[in-house]
Amino acid sequence: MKSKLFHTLVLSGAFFLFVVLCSALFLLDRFEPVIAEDIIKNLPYSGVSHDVTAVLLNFRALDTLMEVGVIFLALMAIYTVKPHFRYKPLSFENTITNTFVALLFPLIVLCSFYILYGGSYQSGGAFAAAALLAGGIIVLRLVKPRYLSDLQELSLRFVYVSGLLFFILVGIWTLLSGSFLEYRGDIATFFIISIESVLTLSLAVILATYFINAVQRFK
Amino acid sequence: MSIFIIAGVAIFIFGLVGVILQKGFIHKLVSLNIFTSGIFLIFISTTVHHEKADPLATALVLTGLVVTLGATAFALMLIRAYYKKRNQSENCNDD
Amino acid sequence: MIMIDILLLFLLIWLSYKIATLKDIFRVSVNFIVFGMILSLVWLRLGAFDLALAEVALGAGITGALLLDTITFLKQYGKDYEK
Repeated sequence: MKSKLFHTLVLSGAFFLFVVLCSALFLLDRFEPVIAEDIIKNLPYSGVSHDVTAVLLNFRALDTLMEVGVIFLALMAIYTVKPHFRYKPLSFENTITNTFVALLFPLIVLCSFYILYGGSYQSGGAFAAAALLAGGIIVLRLVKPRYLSDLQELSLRFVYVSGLLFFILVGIWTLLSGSFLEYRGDIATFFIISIESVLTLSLAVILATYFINAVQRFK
Repeated sequence: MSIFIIAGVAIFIFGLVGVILQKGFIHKLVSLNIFTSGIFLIFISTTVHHEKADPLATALVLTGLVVTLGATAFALMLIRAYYKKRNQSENCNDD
Repeated sequence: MIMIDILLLFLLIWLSYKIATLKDIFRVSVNFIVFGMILSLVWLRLGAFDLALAEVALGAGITGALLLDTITFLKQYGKDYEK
């Protein structure tokens, strides 16, 4: 059959590709951590004590700006197909799920803020905290949809926009006395912490909207 | 460290085979996600030194993970709109 | 410690093989969520701690929830979804 010939062709090509890639990757030279030494040397001037956070928000801040822009663009793209879906809440009132979400949601908010502000001296940062908070909002929406049903659409749009807008405004502020998004020293700590806080709240709401994207059914 | 590279290449190959051979859009999308996870595994496992990962590579992979999530969410919304437009007139009662 | 590495990587390859060849959509989604969690443990073994946090929250959390939501939607509107 034609399908069997296609299957065997693809599988043999895949095996051949596997051998080629493995041999190519094993023939590479030994990795020299040149850039990591540069990063550790410049770490006291960057405003934080953790190297990954310094790279994400100080040395390569433009990449983080583009990443927030891509998330916002995906949100706008989802908004174009949003009015097609209507939401039918299907959750029954239940003691187990009510107690579970009442105990879990404050813990999620607490852990999210701990991860956010621990990003300056240990692993963490804005993106893990935003993802955790988005998970908490999704759980809240699934168990008790009435808590989130009377949010105004206009204030929600301000929250979506605020992360990207604050980042760009900080960049323009530093453009007036240097390059775009270039800061060092004590002012860098202030900028990084403020950018991360606004970014966490905004990204959490955007990531939760990826899931809760149906128009409410009006009775 | 070398077994991580072999596993990364194997996941890459399985993801690629899944995208080509599977029928159905969601199977292809999940295989594409596996494909990008394999690439990230290769990227991090070749730049490990002193039992820690390289900070620049970690930052790039973090950006890639979040962008993949955005693309996957948009693709799922497009799949939903596609199937709703196709099968709307059969069981449409109030939409 | 190398036995843990071999076990985790073998599980990862097995899950990706199952994802590439299964036909039932629900099994593929659950395998994908488990793949995300095991990948987070692999990041921990390699020493990338930020990646472990972000992968388990984004890859296995939000993407998994979105996939399961779409499967529920397809039960109603996706009668001709190709298997």
